[in-house]
Order: sequence, then C-alpha cells, then structure tokens
Amino acid sequence: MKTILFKIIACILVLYLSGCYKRNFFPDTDDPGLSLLTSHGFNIATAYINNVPYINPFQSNPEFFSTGGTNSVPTLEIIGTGILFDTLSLSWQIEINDNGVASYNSRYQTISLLMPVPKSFTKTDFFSLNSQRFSSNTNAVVLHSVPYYSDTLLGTSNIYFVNIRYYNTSGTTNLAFSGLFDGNIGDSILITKGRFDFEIDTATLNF
Amino acid sequence: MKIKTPFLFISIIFISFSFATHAQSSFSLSTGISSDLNNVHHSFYHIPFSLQWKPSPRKRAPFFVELDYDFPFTTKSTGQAYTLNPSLPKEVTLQETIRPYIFSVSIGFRIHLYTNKKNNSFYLDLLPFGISTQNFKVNYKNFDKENYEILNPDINMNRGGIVTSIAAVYNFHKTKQDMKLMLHIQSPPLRGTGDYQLHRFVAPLQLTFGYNFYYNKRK
Repeated sequence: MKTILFKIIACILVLYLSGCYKRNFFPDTDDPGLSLLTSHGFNIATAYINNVPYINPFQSNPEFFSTGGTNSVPTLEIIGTGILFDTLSLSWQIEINDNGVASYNSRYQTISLLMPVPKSFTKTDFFSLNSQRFSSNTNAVVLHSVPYYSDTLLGTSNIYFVNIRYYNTSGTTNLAFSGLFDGNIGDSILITKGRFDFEIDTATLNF
Repeated sequence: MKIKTPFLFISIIFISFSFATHAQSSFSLSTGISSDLNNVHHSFYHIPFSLQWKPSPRKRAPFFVELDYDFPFTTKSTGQAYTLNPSLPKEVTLQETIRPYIFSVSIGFRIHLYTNKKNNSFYLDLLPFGISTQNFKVNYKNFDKENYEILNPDINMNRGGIVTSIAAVYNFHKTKQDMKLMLHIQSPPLRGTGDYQLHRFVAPLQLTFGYNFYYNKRK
C-alpha cells in the first residue's frame, strides 16, 4: 500500500514539474553530452571538442518571473572573401555542456563552419545543398577561444547538410536546416560527432 | 487548487480500498486483442490482460479497481542514418522495431444498463481516474553507432501519466461462473510538453473476453 501511494504521489509530482519549461536538448545515450540528430528546428547544436561535449547556449527570458527562454540561434551569412568566390559562414556560440546546463569554464566561445560559394550564391543555392556531403578539402572550421577572442584556430571540416527546407509561418519565411560536421585543427583539436538543427528567419540572411 | 488534487485522489483510493473490509464479491480476468487509436501511421497492437477487482457485492457500491497490462506485438518501421565518413555510403536505411509496453491502474464504477430474462446483463464501466506507464522499447537492426547518426530517432522511453477510460461490458450469466465480453477504450497519458517523442502515446482500444470469479457471496 505504501508503494502504491508513493508511486501515485511521485506521478502527481512529475506531472506538476513537467509544466516547467525545458530547453531543447534531447540526450543521445550513445554519445553522452550530445543531443540527438533532429530536423525539427530545435535550434540545438552539439559536438565533442577533444572529447568534451559543447552546446549552444540557452538564453533565458529577462522577465523576473519568467521560466522560459530559447536556445541561441546561429548566424548564417555570406562573407566577401575573394574575386571568384565568397564564403558561406555558419557560426554559433558554444560552451561546455554540463547535462544541458552551460558551464562557465568553456575553453572555446564560438565555432564557424566555412564553405566557398560562388559570388552569385542565393537562397535557392543554399536549398540545393540539401542532402549534400562536403569533404574537408574544401571546407574550414574556425574556433574562437577565450580569453583571447580575437585569436582564431583554423582547421578543416567535413559538413553534411542532411535536411534543408523553407516554410512560411505567420507572415515570415523560415529556413530550417540540420546536419553533421566534424573538424581537425592542426591534429591537436579534434571536433567529432557534431550535429546541428537550426531554424532562422530568412529576413536575417544577407544573400 | 493544485494542492487539493493529490489529497482528493488519495482519498478516493482509500475509500475504494476500504470496501475490502466487507465480505467482498468478485474479480474478473479477461484477455483479447488491442489496437491503438492515437497513432495513425504506426498503429500499435497488443494482447491485453485485464484484472478487475470489485470489492463490494452491493449494487449500490459498484466501485472497482482495474489493472491492465498490454503485451505488445512488434511494430516495424524504418529510419534514415547519415555519416560524414567519406569511405562509407552517406545515407543508409535501417530496419526499426518498436514495442510499447503498457501498464495501467484505474479506479472506476459500474453503471448497470440492462438485464434480460436469462440474467445476462449489459453495463458500462467508467474509470475516470487511472495511472498508466508506457514503456517504448526501440531497436535499430545493424546500426553502426560509431559512424552513423540516425535522423529524428525513436528512443527508448518510459513515461507515466493520468489516464481515463470507459468500457462497455456484456455479462453472460452461467451457473458456475459468469463470462464477459468487454470493449474498453483508454485515453493516452496526460503529460506536459517538452519531451522528445516521435510517436504519440498509445490509446488502446481493447476487445477482451474473460471470466468473473465470485467469492464470499452475500446472502
């Protein structure tokens, strides 16, 4: 009887607590500290950097009583870098993932995936990257480390855009894209098992 | 208001179990087939086992406790997995199996509707409050965890929540013991948002056949 009562009370407590806000982080039991590979626009990105799990930060609502918030979104932009080609840059903030909660001892602050693209690159061209895997002989990865944020660590990267889609919602066109990535910076910094699932407003794009 | 809810529920449980102090009447066992009404694309099928205990023989005290265990048939599906490794195919299709085990405990009461000349009866079982756990076991066959990542994978999941259910029961009166035919519908567990799950919780529609066993009949 005590066990039954205990389970009943535990279930009611769980139901009550489930009303609290949770960030989008869905643990991958095969890769501790990383989130599952998803394509739902959860704005979640995780990867191991030298076997330490990193995640994009969670940004709480500023209101005092609010329990809500969102995962930080990436910046997707074209950077003018040459005469023949520009660079498509996908970058986001990172920090050590301590079971879904940010750690303040992160060695690295941002990560950027860089790809050469034609100067005429458009949103339609980005959509054509869907299901495309790009090897490390064309792409680059950049880590910004702390405390010297201006220092950049440059290496090579594999990128795989697993799913890209545009859709309209409440008057705006959103771009949702997800995929895999890894990186190697001088053989001393290895980025492994990277996966991202982002959704951004196309109005924020510069191409 | 939130504080009142657990106390109300605990009170109902105590009241229900308090009938055991009387000379009590019956329990019933039934089994059959169950289909899921809540998942359209991947409907789950089960073999349900239902145990119902009605403590009081009195018609004016028609409360009972019901335990249900639904043993699942394996549901097959597929998943897509992807890799960055250039020496491997960039995408593979995996065979997936899903087995959702369901256990429920409910309390309810009986509404008698009809009895014919042979003493066969028809009644409704209303179970307004129950607790159910649904345990999803997922397996991907030949999955290379080191090199591939599954997109939007189903995951093992064990979740509980409050359920409600209703059953239409036809009771065949026999000299030694009654038999019954039951059509039982249970809601999916009520839960908050924020969980990752691709499948909805199961809402079983059970068709079962079983026996009523009487003891300590009231004279």
